Amino acid sequence: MIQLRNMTYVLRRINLDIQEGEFITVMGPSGSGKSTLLSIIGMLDDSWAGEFYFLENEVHKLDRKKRSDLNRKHIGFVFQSYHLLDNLTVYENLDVPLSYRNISRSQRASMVAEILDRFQIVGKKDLFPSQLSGGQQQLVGVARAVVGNPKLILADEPTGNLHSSQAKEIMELFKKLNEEGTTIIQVTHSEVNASYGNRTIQLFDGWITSDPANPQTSTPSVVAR
Amino acid sequence: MGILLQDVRYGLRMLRRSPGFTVVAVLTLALGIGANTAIFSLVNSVLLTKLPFRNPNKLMIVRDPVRSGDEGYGVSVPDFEDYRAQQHTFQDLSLWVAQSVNLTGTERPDRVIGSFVSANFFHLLEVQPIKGRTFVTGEDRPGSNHVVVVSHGAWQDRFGSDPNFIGKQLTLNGEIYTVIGILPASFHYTLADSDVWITISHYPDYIEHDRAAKNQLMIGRIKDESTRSQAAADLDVIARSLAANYPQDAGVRIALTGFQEAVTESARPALLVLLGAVGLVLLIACANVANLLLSRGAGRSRELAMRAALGATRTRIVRQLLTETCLVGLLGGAGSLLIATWALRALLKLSPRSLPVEVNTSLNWQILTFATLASLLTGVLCGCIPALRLSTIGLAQLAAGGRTTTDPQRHWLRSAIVVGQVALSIVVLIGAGLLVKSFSQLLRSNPGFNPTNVLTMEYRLPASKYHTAESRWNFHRQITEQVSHVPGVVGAAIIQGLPFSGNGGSTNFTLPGMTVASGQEPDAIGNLVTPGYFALMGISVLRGRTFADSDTSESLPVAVISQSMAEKYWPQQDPVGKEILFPHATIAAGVEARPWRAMVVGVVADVKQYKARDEHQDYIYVPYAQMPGNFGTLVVKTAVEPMSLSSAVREAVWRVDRDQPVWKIRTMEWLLDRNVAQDRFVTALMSCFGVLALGLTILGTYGVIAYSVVQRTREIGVRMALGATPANVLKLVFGEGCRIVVIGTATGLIGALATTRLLGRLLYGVHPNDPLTFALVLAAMLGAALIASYIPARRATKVDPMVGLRYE
Repeated sequence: MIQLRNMTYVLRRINLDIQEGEFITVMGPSGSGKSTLLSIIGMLDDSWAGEFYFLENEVHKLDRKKRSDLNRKHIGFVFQSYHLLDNLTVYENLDVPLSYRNISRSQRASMVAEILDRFQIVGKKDLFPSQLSGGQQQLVGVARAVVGNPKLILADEPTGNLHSSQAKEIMELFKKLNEEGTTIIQVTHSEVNASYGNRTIQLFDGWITSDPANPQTSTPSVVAR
Repeated sequence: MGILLQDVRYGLRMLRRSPGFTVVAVLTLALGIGANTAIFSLVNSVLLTKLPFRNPNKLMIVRDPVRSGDEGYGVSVPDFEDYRAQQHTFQDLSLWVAQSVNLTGTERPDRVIGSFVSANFFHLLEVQPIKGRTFVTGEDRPGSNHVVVVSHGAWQDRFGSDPNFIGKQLTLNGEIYTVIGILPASFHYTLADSDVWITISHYPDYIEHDRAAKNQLMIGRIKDESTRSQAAADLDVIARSLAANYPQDAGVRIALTGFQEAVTESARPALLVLLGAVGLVLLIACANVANLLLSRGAGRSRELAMRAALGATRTRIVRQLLTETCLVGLLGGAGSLLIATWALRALLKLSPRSLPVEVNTSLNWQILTFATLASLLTGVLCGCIPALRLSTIGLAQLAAGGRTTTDPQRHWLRSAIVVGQVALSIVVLIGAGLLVKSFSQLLRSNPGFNPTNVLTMEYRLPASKYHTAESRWNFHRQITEQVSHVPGVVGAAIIQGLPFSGNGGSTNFTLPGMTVASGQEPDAIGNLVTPGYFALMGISVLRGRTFADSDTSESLPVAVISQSMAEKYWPQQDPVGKEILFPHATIAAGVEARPWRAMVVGVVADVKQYKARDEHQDYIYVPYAQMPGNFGTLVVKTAVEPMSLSSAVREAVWRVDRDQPVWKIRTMEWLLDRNVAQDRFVTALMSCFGVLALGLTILGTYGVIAYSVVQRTREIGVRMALGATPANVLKLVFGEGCRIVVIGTATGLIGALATTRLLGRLLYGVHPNDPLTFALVLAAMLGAALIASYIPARRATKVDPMVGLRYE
């Protein structure tokens, strides 16, 4: 699904292959490049060099618009700070990503209704984010990420602002989505959250220091202390 | 007091720390307050300055509200005597009329401004001379002594402040007058600032026993215990009694006009409109500063939260914030004084002839008080909403642990303020647009003659020297001949009341077979001209002929009428050969009224007599030769620049009579220009206000959308992460600008529809709801404001989603 070859920017010569259906956890200390890796894979960040293949597309050869099209079609985001739009209701927040695709209003309504039902938040559809708890907000954040049926969900510390029971609920949700076929890449500091995934990649100072799928990963001596 | 000083100190420090904000806010308010102070200076000089008389509100001009124009102000000598004897509510009534007076016996004949008054005039105004005396009872009777009171200005400028001036003799209108008094410098008779004051019996048109000769104006001082309405009712009873007893007084009614109103009534509507418009501009400036304060407040949330945490009440925080905005207002006010002084001088230079009184451009306590109050009010006005809003945010921030949050309500406020700005600007711009269109119509209006290369000058023949009709006609004829021979002169003619000079008069007439009560006859403008006048002024002859040298005092009396009059009284007929009857009238100045008749020999195109905005009035011309009056305006068509011939033409007049002064030497184009001076003045000012309003509104719109982009950076980043394209972002931000502008424009449109009728009296040839003006202004405002929204919207599309997602 994803291949990164000699990717450099904050990252140093990253080589990474991700298959469809994987649940990847990216770990590492602050400043190691976890979020940067996520934003590059999510095609939000263009400041890199190297080769990037995504679903048979040579992303490194695409212009910004085409990258945005790929992002819009195949990728969903979940953020640590939820990033729900404050002045929109839950329903409207879920409708936002769909409104940027060529989908008719009635079809959008049906898709939002389906996701509200699936996440059991129908009763909250008219509430504003400020009227929800942190866990509920992140639930909506995840719902927003999957409403367009993406092939890949990128989650940047999705439980960072939640207490443990809320975090567990969200991670169970990711697991379920993964089991249903969605590829997930999460960034986390939590070993518990990492245990929900099937592959953990360690980053340090922009280098991949550990990747079970690529045991030959070379780390410069200055990093591998 | 200590807390206030502390707030002021802290406020000054905060302003110093934000020099960008301070400079922009102070300049914005300086412009707004400066424009208001300049207009207030005009209003103060024209409408609010008290006249230099004791209790001036009790001084009244008596006029007839039914009859219009000059005629409505006239009263005859016998009627005056009756009013004076029978009234109960006035301390006294007096007669006054102003007319130019020939001053001779000096190095050169000259003209001075004269006032002819009844003997009690100065007593009524309660004015004491600085030297000598004023008139005493009986000195205004026919046959009384020739005495004159001289103004302080004339004594200084014309007679070198001669300390022994009392008792000296002056030759006025060809007769010897003895100087009996000099008026104080403080005396300014605002209705006509005369040089010499003579008793009414020496007025050239004074007719003692004729009630039809309503040549004088009556003024009075109401008793302290009487009201204006009581005094009007008192005189109205007498007027009805006179109307019942004398046919010449039929239909006469009474109304009182205060001196102040009489002086300022022509300028009042324009000044009030300007005051309203400039007030709106100040509100727009306040809105800009309020928006700046709201933006700046976002950066002060932590500080305000901390103040609240340390125990500051909401009132205390509001007071601190208002102190800062009042300081901004006062700094703006200080700057406004410079702007106001400069703007006022520039305006008066632009249009020096447009106001009825002299405008004082120097600072005085009224202007300073106005500027200070306006500054403080402005400070409170633009500060109160942000202060109230920010004070609650401070507490909210505290609750949120000092974390910055977006504040949709504050953004809503900012948008509402811009909606208000756009609406107010639309009102000001539509007002300016209507006035510009009106002024352009006025300039294009056809006065009925060709003013190019026409030199004019006035003269009045003294009755003592020119007491026969023949002598007067000889003078008029001879100067026309003399002037015609001056090199550069194409032709010369004489008219009594030159169009647009302010001179003129009407005459009653009837037609054979017309049944109308005495005193109820129709009237028309009556004027005297010499034969060459129509050709010289380019006035088209539509039927028959104009006057010829063969129209003399010995031949059949003839008249030429205007097209409007011909169509009104002889529809589908040829008026040439028809007769006009004048029951008891005169057209010529200095000629006693009598019944007479004239035959229409020609019809000429309509000419406007008084104002460019006037409708065409009925007009009767009579040849000078058949009714030679003592007043004339020499009209000279030149082949060169007209004013270059003024000396040569004057010399030509003096070749006929060395002692005859001529005055008001002006070109016809200057007179036309003077006629639209006030319109130009108001239009120029309103245009400035319109541009200022538009500029401030564009800045406001730009500011609020640009701030919105900054405030919504996170949102824009999230939207882009969720798939929004640059076009989606552009639509989102630009759509917000469009909404604000469209709502503001719609509100402004409603406001303009409701208020433009206030301009009604100032407009010419344009309806207050003129669709074209409305459409152009709306298009201009929408275009400008949308561009102001587009620029930040375009910038929003460049937001890096990663920056947005990290943005707090």
